[in-house]
Amino acid sequence: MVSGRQERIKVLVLGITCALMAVVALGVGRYYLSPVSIVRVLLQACGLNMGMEKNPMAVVMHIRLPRILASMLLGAGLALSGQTFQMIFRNPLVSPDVLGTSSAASFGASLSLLLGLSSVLVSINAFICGLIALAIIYTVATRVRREQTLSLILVGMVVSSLFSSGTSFVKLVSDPNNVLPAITYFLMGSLSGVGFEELSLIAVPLLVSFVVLVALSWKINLLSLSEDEARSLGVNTRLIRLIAIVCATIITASSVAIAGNIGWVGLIVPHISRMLVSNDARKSFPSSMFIGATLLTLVDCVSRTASTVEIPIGILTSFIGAPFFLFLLFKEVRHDS
Amino acid sequence: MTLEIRDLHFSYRNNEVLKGLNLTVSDGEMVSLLGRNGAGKTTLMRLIPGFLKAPEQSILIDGKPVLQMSLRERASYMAYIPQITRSVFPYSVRTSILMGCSNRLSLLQNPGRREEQRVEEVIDLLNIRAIADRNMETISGGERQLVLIARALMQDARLLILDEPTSFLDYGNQLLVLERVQELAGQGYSCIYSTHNPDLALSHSTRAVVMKDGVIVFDDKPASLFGTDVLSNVYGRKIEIARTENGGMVCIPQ
Repeated sequence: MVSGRQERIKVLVLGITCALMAVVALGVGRYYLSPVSIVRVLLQACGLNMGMEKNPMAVVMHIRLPRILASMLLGAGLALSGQTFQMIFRNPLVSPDVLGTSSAASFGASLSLLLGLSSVLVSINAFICGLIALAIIYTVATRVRREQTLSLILVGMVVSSLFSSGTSFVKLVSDPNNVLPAITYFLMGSLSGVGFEELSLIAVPLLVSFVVLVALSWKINLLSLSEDEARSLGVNTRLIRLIAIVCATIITASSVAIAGNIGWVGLIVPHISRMLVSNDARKSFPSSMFIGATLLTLVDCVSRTASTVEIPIGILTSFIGAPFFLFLLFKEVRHDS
Repeated sequence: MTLEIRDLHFSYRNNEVLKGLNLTVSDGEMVSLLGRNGAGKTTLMRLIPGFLKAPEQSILIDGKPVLQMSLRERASYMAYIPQITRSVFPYSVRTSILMGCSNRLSLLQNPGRREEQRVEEVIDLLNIRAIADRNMETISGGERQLVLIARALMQDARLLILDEPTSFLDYGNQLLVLERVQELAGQGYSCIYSTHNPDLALSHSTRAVVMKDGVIVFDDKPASLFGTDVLSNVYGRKIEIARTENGGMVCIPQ
């Protein structure tokens, strides 16, 4: 009982940290603004006259706000998606791209860049390709006479490999002077091109997926038990697994659609959340989302301020994620032995 | 509540493992299931809750085929207690017990205060308050079985199916777990458990069912095994059943 209250307090603290991070991130950059100025800008944007000039208003509201909102939404989403996949596949070492939807979305984006389509169409095509991959995976996996979670992962590997080959082919035939660098940069993951237009494309599917997954958190807890145990407790495992996979895939595809591949967040954040708060998804889902949002926003701040040229965010998340993954592997080995 | 198994046949591909089983379990009965490896015990324990598909009219609860029930309806009639439970993400004892109420929740519903209060009642009922604040990873095998029984009580199911509940337990914990099950049978629950230890079946059941090669070869009070060669035939070696001074019975291999 007491531990339940402590866990709720921890989630609250993580939420407050996340909000503070957002305020700080809005001020960080070549044009520095103090947290107090940021609050004044936000209040003025809400209609109150705080005496702020045009420049800070423009920088915050048109340049930084969509980017920070994107980093918050995608950080929260990737962490939530990663944790959902880890629980339904009963494997702490899987990440949001376990089913190959990231590869499919990357292929959609690369093909659109090759065809010279607008950034909005790049995002839409990436998203659609992610969902097509999921449809193929689910249709094939449910026809394989094996345990469902295993067949999903195996078919996911096959589909991922096919789409990765497709992306390689697109790179091979693209113009090495203009298009190839654009594809390569996009796939490395960056929030630099995100504006309100791109954000509005993914906001609704992303938020709906958040709500559904958080509402299903108790049932997702039960999916991490054995299949027989979960079913004997009256849980329709197939239905809940399908809904959870669709929502987690929508989040993953949305992320690739506007920001390219951002690795590791979906793998490491759920571990931090479980270590800090609880294994119970009712508490660790919100805490994962807050930690993911805070971490990605922090990394994005580093990405746009550390050097004169913006460092792709995927590179930075890998720098943090790879050593952390090794730490987890050693921890797992010690635990098993 | 009555579990009725009628002329149950079951095959894995072309290998028939159950050959026309008939069995009835009623309120307050504690049925032990004995037999060698491969006799069909585990298959039967997996068929009753519907993990494996039997012919529809073979397994009935109060006259209704189990396979015609939804998963939630099944869970309200019977609780399955596995040999071992191990989640990759181990939960606290309280959360694990709370999971038993899931059959009464709708798709998007989370357990509320009423369910949490019921968890406290069940903890007291099974006398496991000392471990209530611990994690499932840090408690012993016997305590874990008691938590699974507590979870089954949260289901409000009247039939408890225990698949080799004592397999991984030391002798003291074997007795502890079966004593708790016996108490529940005394309160009107129907219990069926499989075991490899005939001594436990003799001391902790109201009925012993012995299987051999997919057929029930004995179904009666454990005391009726006295003086028969049923166990000798099943296990392939001479086993005598002796009476103890306090009226109990023990198996003595010859």
